[in-house]
Amino acid sequence: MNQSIHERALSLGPCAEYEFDLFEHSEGSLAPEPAALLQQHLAHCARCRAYAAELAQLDATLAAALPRPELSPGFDARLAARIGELRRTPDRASALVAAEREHQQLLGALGRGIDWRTWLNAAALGSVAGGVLLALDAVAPQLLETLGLVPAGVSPSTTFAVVLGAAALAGGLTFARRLGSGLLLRRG
Amino acid sequence: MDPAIQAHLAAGRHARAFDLIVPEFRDRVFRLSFSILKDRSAAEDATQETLVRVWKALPGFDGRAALGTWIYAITRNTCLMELRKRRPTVSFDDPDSTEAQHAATAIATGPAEDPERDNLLRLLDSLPANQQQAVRLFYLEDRSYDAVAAALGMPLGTVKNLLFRARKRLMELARPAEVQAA
Repeated sequence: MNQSIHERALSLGPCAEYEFDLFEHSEGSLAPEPAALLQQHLAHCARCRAYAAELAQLDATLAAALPRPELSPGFDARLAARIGELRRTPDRASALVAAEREHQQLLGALGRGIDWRTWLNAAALGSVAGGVLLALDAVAPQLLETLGLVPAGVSPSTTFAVVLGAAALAGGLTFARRLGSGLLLRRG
Repeated sequence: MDPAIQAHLAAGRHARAFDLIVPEFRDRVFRLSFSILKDRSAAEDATQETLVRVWKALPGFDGRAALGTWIYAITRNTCLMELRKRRPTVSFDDPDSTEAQHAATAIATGPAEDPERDNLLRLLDSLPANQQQAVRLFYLEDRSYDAVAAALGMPLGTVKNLLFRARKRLMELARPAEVQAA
């Protein structure tokens, strides 16, 4: 008799307005206020009580029936081996990332280098070359004109300034070439 | 996100960040993979593949999404690729499609010694793929709605609704014929 009442209650299903709450209540995730209302309802509703019991049974069966596998003990070692292999043979994406980083570093270095390194190098080169010319001019005043390195009537100080300017131009061209390489790298 | 992982990522120390990511996410990635692929060995392979992809892509992770969200998205994508390899007609857009439901067939059910348990697992397997996945993951994650929502990349309400519909259907299917006829 009791069994048939239970089956009858189950076949009718729960009250629609409490159906969703019954699921949440079975997991303990229903908020306190609706949980209290549901408890009051369950006290006098056989249909919802039968449904709640059936739900609890389903929950217990599923929890016991569903497999809970774990990773095998060698998982970490295998992963480490794969990552190690990738580190030794970087793929194209990694190479591109590295190239882009190198390019950014180059641009940064160029931005800093043009302020003092390039100009310092150019000035040093110009000074050395100008000094050599001045020394030659002092030792053999006509030699530079004879070799065609200085136009006739040009003073040694003017020659020094011209050489210094040429060295600075060479420094500027070097900078332009390096910048060009950077831009080419970016396009590649 | 673990502050140490965050600090390493912010400083561009991706290898050190990865060393912390693996123990933090390895098992969660495996559980999500298992809930999709339903096969322990395939899930472990997918976990390896996911973490290798994470390692490769980590320099490009911009932090706009949460790290977990990003890793779970890679996991789901890796598993869907695996399902697609098994059966080329799996739909990426419709998890309820017939193809998606039948794509994953290997079920780790263990020894067949409990008819009620085996029947329930068979019934579970007859549900739409997204409902099956939600149910499996819900119990793998110790009944945590939040963990399931994070792993599936779904709002909490959607996950609750999926689980509600799945278990309601399971109860209907599992009822003895005399109860259904009463």
